[in-house]
Amino acid sequence: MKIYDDLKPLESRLAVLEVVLGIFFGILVGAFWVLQVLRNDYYCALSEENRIRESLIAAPRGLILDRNHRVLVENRPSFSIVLVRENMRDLGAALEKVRRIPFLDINTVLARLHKYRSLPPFMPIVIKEDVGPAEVAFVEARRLELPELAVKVEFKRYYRTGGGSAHILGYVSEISERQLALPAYHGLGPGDLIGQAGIERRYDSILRGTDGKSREVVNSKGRKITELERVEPAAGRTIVLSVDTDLMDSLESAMSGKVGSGVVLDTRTGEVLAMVSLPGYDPNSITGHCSQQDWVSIVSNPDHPLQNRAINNLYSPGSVFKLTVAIGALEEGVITPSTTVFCPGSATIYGHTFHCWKAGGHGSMNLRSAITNSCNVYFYQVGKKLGIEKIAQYAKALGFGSATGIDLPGEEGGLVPDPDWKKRVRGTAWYAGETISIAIGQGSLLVSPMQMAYHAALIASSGRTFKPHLLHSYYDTNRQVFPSEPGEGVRALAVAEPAFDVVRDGMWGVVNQGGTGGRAAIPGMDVCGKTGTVQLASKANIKNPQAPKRDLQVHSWFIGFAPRQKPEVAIAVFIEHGGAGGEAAAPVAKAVLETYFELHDRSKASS
Amino acid sequence: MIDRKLLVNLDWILLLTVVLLSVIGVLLVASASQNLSANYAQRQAAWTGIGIVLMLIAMSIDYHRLTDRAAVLYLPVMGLLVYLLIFGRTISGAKSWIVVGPIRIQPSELAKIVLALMLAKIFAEFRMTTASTREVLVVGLIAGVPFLLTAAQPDLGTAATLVPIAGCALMLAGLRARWFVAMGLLVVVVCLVAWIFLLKDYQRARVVSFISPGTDPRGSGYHSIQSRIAVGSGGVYGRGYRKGSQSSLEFLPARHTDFVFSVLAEEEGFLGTTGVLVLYAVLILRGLRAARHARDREGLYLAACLTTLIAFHIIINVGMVAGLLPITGIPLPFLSYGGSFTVTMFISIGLILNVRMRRTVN
Repeated sequence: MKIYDDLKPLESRLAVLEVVLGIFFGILVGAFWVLQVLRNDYYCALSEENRIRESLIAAPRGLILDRNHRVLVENRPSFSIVLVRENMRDLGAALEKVRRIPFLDINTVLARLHKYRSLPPFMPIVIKEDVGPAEVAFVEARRLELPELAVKVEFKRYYRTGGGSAHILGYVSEISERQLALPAYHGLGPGDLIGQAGIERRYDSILRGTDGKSREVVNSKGRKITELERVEPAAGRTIVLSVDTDLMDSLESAMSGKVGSGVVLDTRTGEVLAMVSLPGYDPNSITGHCSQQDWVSIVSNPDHPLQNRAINNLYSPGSVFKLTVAIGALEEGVITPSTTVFCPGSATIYGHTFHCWKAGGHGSMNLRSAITNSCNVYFYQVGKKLGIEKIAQYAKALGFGSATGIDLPGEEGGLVPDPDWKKRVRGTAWYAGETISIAIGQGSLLVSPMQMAYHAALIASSGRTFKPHLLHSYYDTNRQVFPSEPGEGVRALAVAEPAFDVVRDGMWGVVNQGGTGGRAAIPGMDVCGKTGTVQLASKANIKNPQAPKRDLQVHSWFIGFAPRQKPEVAIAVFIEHGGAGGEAAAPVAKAVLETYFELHDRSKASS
Repeated sequence: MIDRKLLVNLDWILLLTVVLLSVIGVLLVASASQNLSANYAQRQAAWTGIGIVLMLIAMSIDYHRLTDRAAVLYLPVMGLLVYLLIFGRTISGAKSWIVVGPIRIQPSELAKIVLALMLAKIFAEFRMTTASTREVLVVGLIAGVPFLLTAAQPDLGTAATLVPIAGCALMLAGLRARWFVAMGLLVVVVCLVAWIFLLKDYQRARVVSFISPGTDPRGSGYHSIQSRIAVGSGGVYGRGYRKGSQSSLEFLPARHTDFVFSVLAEEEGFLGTTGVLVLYAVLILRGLRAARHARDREGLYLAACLTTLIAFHIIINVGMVAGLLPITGIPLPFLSYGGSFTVTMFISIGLILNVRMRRTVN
């Protein structure tokens, strides 16, 4: 058919072209086979990952109330001003408008814009946090002129405290790497806020609630198209604490300007009615996303305001410990209430002279007057007879040497020394003179103010009180109430009622019969108590002129309870470097107990 | 002008294939442009209509009359390309378009047709078994001028599509081994020069991300990855028309133009992709058959060059969608949205049909 030409060579070249193109098509079909048939599952998963976004809906944290349901911790709205870039026609013009707004800093705005430049334009950028009502009104009133600005509301933890109750409440901040690994925080992620101290930490799981979830379809720019599924957040439960705000305020104001701690317990239930540690701090300044400056100022304070002195710090009990020795000696039959010792101002025991605090001596003392006057010589002799093993046994039974179990994190257990302990820890033998020091509360004994308050409550209740606790109850959004379970209450004390009676009688004398604690006396009220004064400086230290004057001052203790019959309330007050216990700590106890009785309308009650 | 004898040799299969592809194209553009403001499907339908009219015109004029006047057609197009470089308005970063009222015309598309006509004319009387230096230089000059003018716009993608047209002509003419080596070297040199002087940063990034896609998954590797996700998630049967999430949620880039085949793959699955590839294979086979059965060398060269052009578009574009080739701005015949390009493809088909129709006349 080829009329003009022989096109055969061309036809064979066309055939080559056809084969080459055929191979390419084969490769393409093979590629789609691999992608669409063999690897379909893999790409489907990637496609879902693209399409579906899970976002959390934060659950509001539970409130914390006092025993009268007054708010201690709540969530308050915090307003931020945000820049919405998708409403911005022209960047230059918008920045010019922003520049003219007095409370916005243009450099901050530019820095934030740069930092978050990769966010999609519909996502707002925060340009100023925590603005006041005036700024909110300014922006809200200018929606038309300033479409690029908006106000964003977030909820922030707010603590109502002057600082002294900060330690009970604690604070919240972002969960740390280490905490994320703990089973208690299972299900939380980076950036989540958790309680980091106090009740916020101890009862985090009650307060935290469960975040809600939203599964939504998003487009390539991250904008939500539709919501597939929504799980509403479950708000955290509200906690009712046993503390009484009025009593807390009274304790804090009575101790204002001082460094120390006070604890008030209900002797019948073990409930903590008040607990203060000074200096305090403002939890609002470190909660959430704390500023570096606030944190440094708290951490660098030499008085360590973050420490809860009521449970974290340990001190020598001083003369308060004489009560333990007295109860032990009575119970063991070493002495009777009428056992008399003559105090000449000092005693020589085991070849060493031990002094009484009163230079001229107290003269003839029985147990009751020895407690009332806190006579050292009497208790040197009693302690010597009782022996260190028994002293340690009764100290442990009366609340010392182990944590009380208060529902706060980080409670210290203190120390009740005995020969075993000394050999184990110090590697040396006990020497007899140590027992004499221990008998008046010096030596290696270490106790916390919390333990001292519990000790007072145990004496007041003849050993029949509950474990100290702050949690009164908590309830969920349906108002279902969960009361606290204070656990095993009564300590198995092998101490009979008469021993307590005698000691309580002595404690009444301390306050009401010219004893060391007279400043705690409230007319018409039967306050019982015991003072303690902790010697700090060795003789060498006193002679050292370089030593800071405050550090030479003795620590001041007062523990007590009231009323004498049917006690209701026990108290321990500790003031660092406060001077003699009767001078510094006793008046604080008096003020607080007065407040307690005013609150309970018992001003005329008497024995 | 069209008598009955011509209609006897009309390639109905090719015609039907093209119409089918065009319909699929309009539907895909409609699905791909769901969230876009303009109605691209309507526009593409309009361009298809114009394309069909121009195809009919291209069919009806005896191709000899066109090849005889190849130079008369070639020179004005070159003039337009020069005009663009001097007076052209920069749109989307390139001086590629002549704006006439609401319509934008891309003269570089017309260069493909006139180049094929020129080559057909040159080789019409060429009867040697292999091409000599003279032929290579002539082809190089005729293809080189529009190539450089288009590359300078800059539109390297469209310029590159001129290379297979010239390559096809030279291959048919017969190339000696040394010329293959020389051209291979030339390609290397051109690539190097392009890499250093011509390519923009984003183009270099595309090549880098093709060689190693993990380098920058949110950046230039992103489009390639998103296209593969669309294709792979389509599976065998696809996710259903207008139901592809990669496409409708805007994860796919350029989904109504360069990546329209990804939309097909996601929504119609492996059946859809192989189905359309079969249609393309039919189109190419019919084009090559038109060349093989051509009455003379002019017809053979013309049909073969244009078929190669179409095949090049298909392979480069689909290869890119499948992640086998780097991202280039080369659209897919009859499926991608684009006025000048669609029209050019229809004219090419018209000329191929033209050659086929006149195999036995006179």
